Amino acid sequence: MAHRFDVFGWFDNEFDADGFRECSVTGFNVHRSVEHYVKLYGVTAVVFLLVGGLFALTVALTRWETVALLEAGDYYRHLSMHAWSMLIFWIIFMEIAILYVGGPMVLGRKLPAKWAAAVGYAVMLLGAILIYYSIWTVSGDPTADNAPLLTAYVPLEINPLFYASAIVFLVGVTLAALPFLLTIWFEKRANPGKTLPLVTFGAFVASMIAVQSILGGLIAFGGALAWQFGYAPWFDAGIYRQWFWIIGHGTQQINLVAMITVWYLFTHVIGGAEVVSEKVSRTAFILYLFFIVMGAAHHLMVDPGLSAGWRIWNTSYAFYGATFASLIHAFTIPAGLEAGRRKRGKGGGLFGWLTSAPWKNPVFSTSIFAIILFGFLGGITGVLMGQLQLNMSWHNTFATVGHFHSTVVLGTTLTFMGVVYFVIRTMFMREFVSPKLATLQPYFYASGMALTALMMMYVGILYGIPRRTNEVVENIPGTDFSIQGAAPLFDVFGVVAVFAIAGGALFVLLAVGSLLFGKRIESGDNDDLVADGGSAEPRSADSRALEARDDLAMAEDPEDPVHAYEMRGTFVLCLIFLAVFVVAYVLNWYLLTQLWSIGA
Amino acid sequence: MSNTNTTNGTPLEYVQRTLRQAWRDTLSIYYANTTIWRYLKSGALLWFGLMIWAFSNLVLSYQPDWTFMYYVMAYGFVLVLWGPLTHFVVVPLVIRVRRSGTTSPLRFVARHGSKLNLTVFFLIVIVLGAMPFGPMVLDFQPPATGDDGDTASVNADLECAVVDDVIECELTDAEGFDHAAVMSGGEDVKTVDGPPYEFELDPDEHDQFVVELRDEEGNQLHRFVERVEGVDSE
Amino acid sequence: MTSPIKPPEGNWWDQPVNRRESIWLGLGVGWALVLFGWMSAFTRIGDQNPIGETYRVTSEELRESVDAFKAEAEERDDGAYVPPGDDIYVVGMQFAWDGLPVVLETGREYNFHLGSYDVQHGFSIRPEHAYSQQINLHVTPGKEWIVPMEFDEPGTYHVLCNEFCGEGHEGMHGEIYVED
Repeated sequence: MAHRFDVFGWFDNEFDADGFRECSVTGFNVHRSVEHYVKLYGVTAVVFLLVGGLFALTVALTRWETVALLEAGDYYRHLSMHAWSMLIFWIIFMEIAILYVGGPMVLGRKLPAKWAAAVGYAVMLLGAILIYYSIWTVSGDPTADNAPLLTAYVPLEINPLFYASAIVFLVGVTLAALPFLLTIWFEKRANPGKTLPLVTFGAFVASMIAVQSILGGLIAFGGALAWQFGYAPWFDAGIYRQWFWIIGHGTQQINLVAMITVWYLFTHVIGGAEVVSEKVSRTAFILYLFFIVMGAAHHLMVDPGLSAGWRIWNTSYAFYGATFASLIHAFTIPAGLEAGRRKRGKGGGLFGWLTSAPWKNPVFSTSIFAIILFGFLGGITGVLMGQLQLNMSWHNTFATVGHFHSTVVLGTTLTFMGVVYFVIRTMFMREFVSPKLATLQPYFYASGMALTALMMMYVGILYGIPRRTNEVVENIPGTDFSIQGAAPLFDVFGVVAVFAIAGGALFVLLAVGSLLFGKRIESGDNDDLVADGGSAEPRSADSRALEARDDLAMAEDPEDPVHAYEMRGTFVLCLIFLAVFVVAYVLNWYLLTQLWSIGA
Repeated sequence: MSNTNTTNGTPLEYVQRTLRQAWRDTLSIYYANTTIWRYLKSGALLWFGLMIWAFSNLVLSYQPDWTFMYYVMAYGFVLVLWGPLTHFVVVPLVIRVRRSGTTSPLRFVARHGSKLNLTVFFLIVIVLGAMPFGPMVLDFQPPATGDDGDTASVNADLECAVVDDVIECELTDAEGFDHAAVMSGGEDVKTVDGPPYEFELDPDEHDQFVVELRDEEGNQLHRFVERVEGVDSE
Repeated sequence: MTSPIKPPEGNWWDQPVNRRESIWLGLGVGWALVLFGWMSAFTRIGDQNPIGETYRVTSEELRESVDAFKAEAEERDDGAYVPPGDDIYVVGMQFAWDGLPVVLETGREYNFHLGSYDVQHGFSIRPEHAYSQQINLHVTPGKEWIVPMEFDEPGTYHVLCNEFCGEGHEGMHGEIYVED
């Protein structure tokens, strides 16, 4: 029976008398309250992706100075819109949806405190609209009304409405996360000795980092407001930066944990992966929780007023705790895929388990490309930039922009695109409006965006091109100096960036098109989504309940000895990764030592 | 599938065995011909080529006398094209010919196609390394002709002082711009033509203002921000 | 092995870890130690460290120091200051670097007094003959950061701002002439 607010037939799955239905792909016991909110937040997220994508085009065509689309004032406004749409709205609306999947949906529970999901959604939307408004109405007067960009650095004069709207948004996020937290609470109360599934555990860690980040954000934005109104004159640039980056980097760590949680889910459901060591994976999640907030200070490596000892402590003990956790997942996720697929007879030789995987399935290919590209591009450059001294060659250059486009775009956004594809098939129950294009789109987008991020890093490291400016190559206003040598690389950048944005546009078209025009799927027609060899069989002719898929059920045996399964393919890949890491590290350091002498 | 981590045999034998296995694995990857393998190999080589090319340019800009880096640079540069060419075109072709070809010229291709391909590749690398040409080498300094950008330097010093409750400002050492505009609250408050570029403001109305230097078309060339608290009284 | 979407039963904590995974964990720990160790050691043995004393100052005090520097310095025909001693000032403001242009000698260590009169700026410097040799430091108002630097190569070093400081930021540029 369709929901009261059903639009386009999007909320019309059949549920039993208690409001549950069983998913034929995952075996989850899905309650309609959970599913409806996952759909709501997910669709909203894609709308923000579209908005952010439009601004990506104008921003890219401005940095590509052959086109030089926008003047300075417009550029800073468009840049602010792009940043908030993508990094905050698209990603955070998706993460609420993912929390609801990872918590109540995996656990087979109803969504508690539905009012909080609804009110949280409304408040988040209100905050987003207010932020858009406060950005769009910026006059650009440097003495009174500057574009906030992402960071809104105190003491730059910025419309107080902006800081207030950001606080509103954070309150909305807190409310929206409440049903997830309550679910965990109720589950632990009902089953005190039982361990949470790994995916739920990951989602829980993400929510805990969110609590820390939101607190940091409230202090940063609240402090900025207090400073603007004269109540906290001591709240200076340094203090703001410290508190801002707790939410600034904290949100990135949430993105990382959410993404990793999705990788465990999809490699299992689509690829037949299993968890090779619950202990190691869970420990890695805990390491993230403890270390990442302190690690936020790697944004302050070349700030005045911070002792070398504090900076080194922060970026190493704290951050390497988190880096080590990433190295762990870098192994356990492919290893889980390799061991799981070998067990199911899909492995052969060193990499047969990987090459025989369902590469045509966009839910799978998005996650795998994300794993590879996030690791090689985002992860390595992140650690390089986080070294106290190397940071001098990266800080505020366009290479930094390349780094975070590798992490949040090639990592998180690509993974979340896979989530949207999955939700379209298994919850909206729609075929892709073009399965061929859906297969192609992740390849298209990942390759375009990877080259774009690479070009950003090249112009930043090879030429020291600054970020956050609209002209520096063809001409620097008011002087005859400019960094003309970077023009050829920027020409490459311009082309690949447009290509990447087209790949993103294709995604939005496919997603929206499938929701509006995709053929409706009846139960059981999702077989091609399932891991090789699996199928959904109804238990009996007149029951709508389904058997858990055999191949997924193979994973439910903790006594199944992990040492019986080969992981040498994963080991080789990780060694290659480490080798690239070492080479990049040595090269970056060597070049630094060739510079003039700096520092006490 | 059992674990093959046997540890018998001397260390030397272990190394030999590992190397032989690694060579066999390399060959099998080189000749792997499914669609996904073609994409993975080409993608990885394209990547690797781009990296090597960029790193070489970078190192060369720091050490201009390390001319051997031109060969490394050429390797990366050519690989960007040759990697995908090899794995999307050459290797599948060689394999197809091996399976079907029986006539002499085809037999030659089947048996030596890959070696031929690699030979041509390295020849091109050596030639380019010896004679580095424009698109391969990145520039890290302004062009020799000095013809970079069409703007001359814009110079001026903004000096302001508070005299009898009025802010008097002057742009000294002014060059490179057509006129100045004083902006407050985002709007133009006055236009300043000169020389001399002098103007007065009421500090009660405008306690912060922007002085913008513009060209004939009104494009912004340079800006100053002045805040009254920082201005000395005379 | 277990499923990520089902609660693991039994004593999952004590399940043995695959040998290759253990090796990888060891490599990871080793690499993290290298990252920490090299970075820390370099503060003692290396020549490029973003380290220097920082003082709290008001914008007025900083302006006075810079004015005093300009008064004492000799001014060349091209407008560049010749520093009277080893101290030079590079202070960011909307939208220029106060204290520049300045002319320095190669092989001599100068104390760069970095700061800002108004908002956050990014001190980004590179020589004209090799754009790739660039470093960046951050400056904030209310602080004076003294970072010693010594140039070995003569040339014109261009200083840009790489932190958004308002419309006009694109044109924020200064020069340092380093001569033998």
